Amino acid sequence: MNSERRKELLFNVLMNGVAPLVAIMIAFAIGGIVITSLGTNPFAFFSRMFSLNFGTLRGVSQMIYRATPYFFTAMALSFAFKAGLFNIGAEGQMFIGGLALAWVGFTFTWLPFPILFVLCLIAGFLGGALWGAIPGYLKVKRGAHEVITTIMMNFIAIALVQYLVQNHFMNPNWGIPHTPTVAEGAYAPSLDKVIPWFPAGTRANIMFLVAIILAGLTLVLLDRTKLGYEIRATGLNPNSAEYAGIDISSRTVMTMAISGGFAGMATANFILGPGSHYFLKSEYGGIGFSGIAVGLLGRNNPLGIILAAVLFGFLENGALGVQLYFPNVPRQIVEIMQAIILIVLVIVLELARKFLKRLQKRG
Amino acid sequence: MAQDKRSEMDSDPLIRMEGITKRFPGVLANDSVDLSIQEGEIHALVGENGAGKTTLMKILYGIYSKDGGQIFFEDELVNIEDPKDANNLGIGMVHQHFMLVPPLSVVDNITLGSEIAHRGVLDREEGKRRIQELANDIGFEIDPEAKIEDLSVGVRQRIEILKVLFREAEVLILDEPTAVLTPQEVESLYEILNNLQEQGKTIIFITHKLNEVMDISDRVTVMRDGKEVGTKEIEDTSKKELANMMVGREVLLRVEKEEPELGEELIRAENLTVTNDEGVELVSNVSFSIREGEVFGIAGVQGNGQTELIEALTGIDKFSSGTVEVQDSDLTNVDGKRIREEGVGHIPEDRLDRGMITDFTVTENFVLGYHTFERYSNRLFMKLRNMDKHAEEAVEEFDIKTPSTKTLAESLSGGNQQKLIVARELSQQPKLLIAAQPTRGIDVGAIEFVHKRLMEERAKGKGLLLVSSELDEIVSLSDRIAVIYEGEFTGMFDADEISKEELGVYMTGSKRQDKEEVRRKALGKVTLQE
Repeated sequence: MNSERRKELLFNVLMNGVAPLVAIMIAFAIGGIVITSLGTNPFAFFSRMFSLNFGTLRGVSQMIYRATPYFFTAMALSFAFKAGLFNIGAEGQMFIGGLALAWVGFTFTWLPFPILFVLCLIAGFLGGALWGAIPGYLKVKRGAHEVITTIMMNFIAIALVQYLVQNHFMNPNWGIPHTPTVAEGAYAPSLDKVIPWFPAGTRANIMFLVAIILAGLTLVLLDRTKLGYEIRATGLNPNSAEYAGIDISSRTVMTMAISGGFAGMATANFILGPGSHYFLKSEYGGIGFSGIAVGLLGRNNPLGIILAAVLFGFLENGALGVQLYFPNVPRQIVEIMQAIILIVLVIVLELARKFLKRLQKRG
Repeated sequence: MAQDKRSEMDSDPLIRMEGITKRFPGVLANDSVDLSIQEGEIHALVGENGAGKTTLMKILYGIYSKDGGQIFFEDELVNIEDPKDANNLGIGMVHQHFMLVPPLSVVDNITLGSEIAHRGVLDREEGKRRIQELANDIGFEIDPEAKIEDLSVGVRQRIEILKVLFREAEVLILDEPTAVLTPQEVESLYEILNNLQEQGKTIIFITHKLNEVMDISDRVTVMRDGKEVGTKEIEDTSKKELANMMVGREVLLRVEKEEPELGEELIRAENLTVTNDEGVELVSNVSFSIREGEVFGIAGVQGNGQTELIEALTGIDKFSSGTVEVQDSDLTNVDGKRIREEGVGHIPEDRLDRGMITDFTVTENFVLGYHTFERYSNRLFMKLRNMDKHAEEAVEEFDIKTPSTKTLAESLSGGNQQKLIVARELSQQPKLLIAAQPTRGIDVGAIEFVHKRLMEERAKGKGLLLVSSELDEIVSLSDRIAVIYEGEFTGMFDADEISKEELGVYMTGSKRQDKEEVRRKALGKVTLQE
């Protein structure tokens, strides 16, 4: 029995600790080689990046701001994953949710804070939830695989929000298509308002805390509630769930809706947080897809996801700042590194799995 | 024990495994095991689940590496590192879980990995020809172009056997070949094995069903707890002796059954019909009634509507017509939750794909289906402490071997998984228990335990609807037996008035009773008049 537990521990350490770290290290190594080939010292580059992020509280704050939306889209992936579903549609759910929350923010302008703020979040959640529930419904009613439908729904969402913003919400005199600004009642307070020692004037806002609270609630939901029990049962074995009298159709749709709801709140960080306060589609592209990488890197575990999201925030924030010092390294270097992390992670996980299997065979 | 046998044999053994030891983390799976196989014999390897039979054979086939011991093939020390080495020696293995590619044809599956090709061009025709030849040799028909996914389990198994023969195996290892077969399919497997033996092949077959050992094998080796406890000539042994060797103590092969004490009617089902999406009747006009303290058995070859009947009775599926009443509440086509609330428990026939969630813990599985009951959850939250407490009590009471209630069910042995399901259903104190194949694929000790518990429930005045394809089980547990054939009850008997042989005749549809009489007897009118 003891060795059983030791095996489990080894499994956890390898799969959830070593594999992601190795993937990150290899990504930095390859990123370093690319930077060297551009004639820049990679150590100088990365240490500048590090000091930009961690050197000051302001840096940390900016990093958190960049990390927050990834946290939401990664949770969308992980929640569905826990229920045996692959939600690849966080991107589309994020757009629909984002437009919904912006609409509430610029429509019900007379409402005070925090009522309008909360209503905006609910609208974001519901918008994403609707977009997630549709593939769930199609799976249940028609057997359409959610990977295919969620991907397709992304394109529909992108086109739909583009159409709505350009034709209905936009003042034609504006150069860039964006919605009107949300009312002050919808503003998400910046982090220094709730955490006194945080520096003022950065864009980090309480959406980061909202994400952490939601992650905690998700854990409670899955592990302690009746609904969570049924969602997990449905995901792990629909036949047995059916035997247990669980309505697997409704549970599947609900799982996809909750998952989509998380993604739907991702852009609140930009729209409600300090900044331009309007929905600007071009600013959010890719956050939904990157959420897949963050969720996988975080091994579908809330703490892991925070760390992975912060890493992505670190790279993104660092890339923006480091350009001033190393203009010949394009900021796309971080996108390369993000992609490498994902690819290497998949390989390392597979190797770790093989290794553990061999270990088992040898006894 | 093996030694005094060897002196009787004319020839040296074909395969000799000596002192085979294999350690898994925390388990000594094989503890210095000796096994000798004669050329041309059918050698049964029996033992309870976890006794180390499959491990020993996987070592012989090169899937596992051994930690100690030696293997001799034709008196030569051999080193079998992987299945390729085993194939080169002419040893092939048919696994318990088939390794076939469902969308591919028979010929593609069989030749996969040993394709016949000329200058890199596949010669499918030659492969087809050789497969036909092999099939004819051992006496069965096969369509080489049929897709695996369209074939029944029995036929798939023949394909697996052909796959091994195609690789020119002289020694065939079959791992629990009958676990997935219907009685008819078992018969034809026996025929195939006999034909193979006539051709001079050597067969090792792993099982824990003693009937099969007595039916088909020449010699038998019994294993227990990773050790070899003895090898016997079939003529010199009995089921009783083998069972005792397997379990290591006296085993009751016959179930002790007291005279029934019948109470009130528990369930009355009339004119039940289940149709599939295409409108075909899978269950037609079935009626029955079960009283307190009574075991109503349904005998039938797998696939004659039993599964559909039970799934509709338990709320997984729906009847297209008919009524089900459990003590005056109408339970026709209500959901599984309501059925459980009315005191009807269900042990499903498929342990892993209905009865439990292997990635759930023992505790989580213990409340599966009852998780909405007040003792395990309120409107929102699960009552984790209550769940754990009850699960721990059940683990204790039903002697379920698990490190803890937080262990995932997947790491339990099959017998203990089944005990967990039985424990769950019985702990809820159902009035009526619907048990489908309650002992399928579990070992003698666990079967004895499950049977004993079911009989205790009967003695307490509970009703039991038993579906089983094991005739022994049906006959020894039931008070009344209905035979189901093509979705209809075609015969209805008191358990003491019918023999297994005659039941078999009804099960294959060769004989049937008058419809009205079956219905009358199934609804218990005859018994009531007495």
